[in-house]
Amino acid sequence: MLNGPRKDNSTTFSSPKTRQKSLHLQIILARTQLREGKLSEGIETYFTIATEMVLKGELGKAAAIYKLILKNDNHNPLALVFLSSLYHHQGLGAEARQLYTPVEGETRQEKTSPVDNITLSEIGELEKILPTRKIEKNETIITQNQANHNLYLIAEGRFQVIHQETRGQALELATLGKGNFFGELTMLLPNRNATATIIARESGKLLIVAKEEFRRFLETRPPLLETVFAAAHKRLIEYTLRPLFISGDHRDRPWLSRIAEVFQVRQFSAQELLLKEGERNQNLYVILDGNLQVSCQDSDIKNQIPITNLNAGDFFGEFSLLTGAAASATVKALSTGWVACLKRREVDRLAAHFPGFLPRILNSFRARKQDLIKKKINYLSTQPRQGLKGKR
Amino acid sequence: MIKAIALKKSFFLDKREITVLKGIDFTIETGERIAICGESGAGKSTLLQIIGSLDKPSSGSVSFSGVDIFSHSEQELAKWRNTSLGFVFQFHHLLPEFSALENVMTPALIKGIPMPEAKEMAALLLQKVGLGERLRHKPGELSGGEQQRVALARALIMQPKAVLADEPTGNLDARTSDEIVDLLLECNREFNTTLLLVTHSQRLAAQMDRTILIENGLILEL
Repeated sequence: MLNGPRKDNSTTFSSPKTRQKSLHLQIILARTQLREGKLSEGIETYFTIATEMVLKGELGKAAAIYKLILKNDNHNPLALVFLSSLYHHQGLGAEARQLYTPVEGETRQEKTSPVDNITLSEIGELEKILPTRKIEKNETIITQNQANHNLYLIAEGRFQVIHQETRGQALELATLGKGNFFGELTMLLPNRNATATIIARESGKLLIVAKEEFRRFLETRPPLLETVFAAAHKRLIEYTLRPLFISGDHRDRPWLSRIAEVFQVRQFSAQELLLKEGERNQNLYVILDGNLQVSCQDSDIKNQIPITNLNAGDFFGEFSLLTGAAASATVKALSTGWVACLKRREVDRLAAHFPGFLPRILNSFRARKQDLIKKKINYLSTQPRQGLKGKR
Repeated sequence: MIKAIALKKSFFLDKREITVLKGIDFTIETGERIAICGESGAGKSTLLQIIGSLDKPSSGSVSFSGVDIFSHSEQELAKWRNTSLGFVFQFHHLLPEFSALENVMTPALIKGIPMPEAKEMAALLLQKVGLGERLRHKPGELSGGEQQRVALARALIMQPKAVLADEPTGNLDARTSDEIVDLLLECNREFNTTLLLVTHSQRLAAQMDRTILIENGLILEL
């Protein structure tokens, strides 16, 4: 579409690589870039397409592309202003205003487009078999930090996901609608409290799957089970990684969802060794759930010295990752849990995008190194001379 | 020209009210140059967004030339935003595959201005920001400061009555950011454009007429 010969009167136009590709190919390129987590490249490709459309006078198509940009990067101000202008140009002011509907909160926060979605026909089918509950406007369905026992599928209405930050700030994370669901973390981690508050923005209807029923119900519906678990994994990663990546600058936030897709999640069992001192390691691990113990062996007394315990939100593997040396400690699971792994090359990629990421890991590395030395000294001072004697 | 009265911005969470702006009053005359300063999270970007009609206050009003902007219908509001305001963001998306001229004329085309006219306007503005010889250069062939000048020209092509800029020199070295500030000031002098800059830079703030210092949702000094 775009690769036809240019007219003579448009001599100001350049015709470089991306612009020569067809519209279809360019959109595929943008999608691929986005899927690979290259947000800025993908957005740029979309902008290139949209600008091309504007220069050709195809404003309707340009509007569609700006919408795609906002779908991937909700706060792209340029796309917001351009789209608003396009709408206005076409006499659609109200729709433009809707784009600007303020997100409640100190700054305009991200509205992560939910990865989870159940098709509308599925919802219709499930509505016949699942218990339903009518919801009033402003009703709180789940409260952060309190227990939750159900998976909720939205049949009607819009629901707001709000996270209360430790600093007292509240973030609206997303608005969910028909086909979305929430409460899935409870299904993955039955003992964990809710990580966010869910409030009905308008009256609606929810389909309810109780925790006890969940497996039995979904095991006969593998695609649905997969959708729910994939969403639970992603949300768990996003929730856990937030403090690691989010600098407080709201412009970082839309990235989180992309970052979450780069991590691989796996379950571990109690007593499992995730990292063994002296062995090569190529991963950075972030604990999503469960308890682990870090210990190292003392070469003099052949004992495991416990260094520290790790919980959800902590990470390990950074020492060998940063230095390229063998693992400096052993990490053993004390309970079952979930861990997210990031491969070395992905670490490099993330570090390039997030200048704050590496210093953060480095700080922890220094602190832990000091901790290790202190603990070692303490430990040795409580083991009076035995080990040393033995050695002599 | 811009008047804010008892501007409050808060939201509810579980029936608990969290207040970001706690009652902001100020008047900014046409053509005035204002820096909005304050710690991260003090509410200065929220304030800029409300003034730019990108966000609504919980209570209070903002008026431009005596007209309360939030009393406009939605359509009028969009029109007003697109004709009266220019937004300059920290180094935002100049498209590398398009020439400076194309980058600058895009908003004019979006606004519905015909191609020849848009091209002429863009060329004129680029000349004004000292890039008259570089119309066909792509951003990659321009220095960081020159790129920001193109971004500025792109904001100015909408002929805004006020330019709202969030950290416009955040990515630039001291000398280059001085050049950009000079340009902003020049456009203020020439077109009597009101300037409202959110900035962390004391140097930049010192070059404005006034500083609105925001702390904890309130204005500390004016």
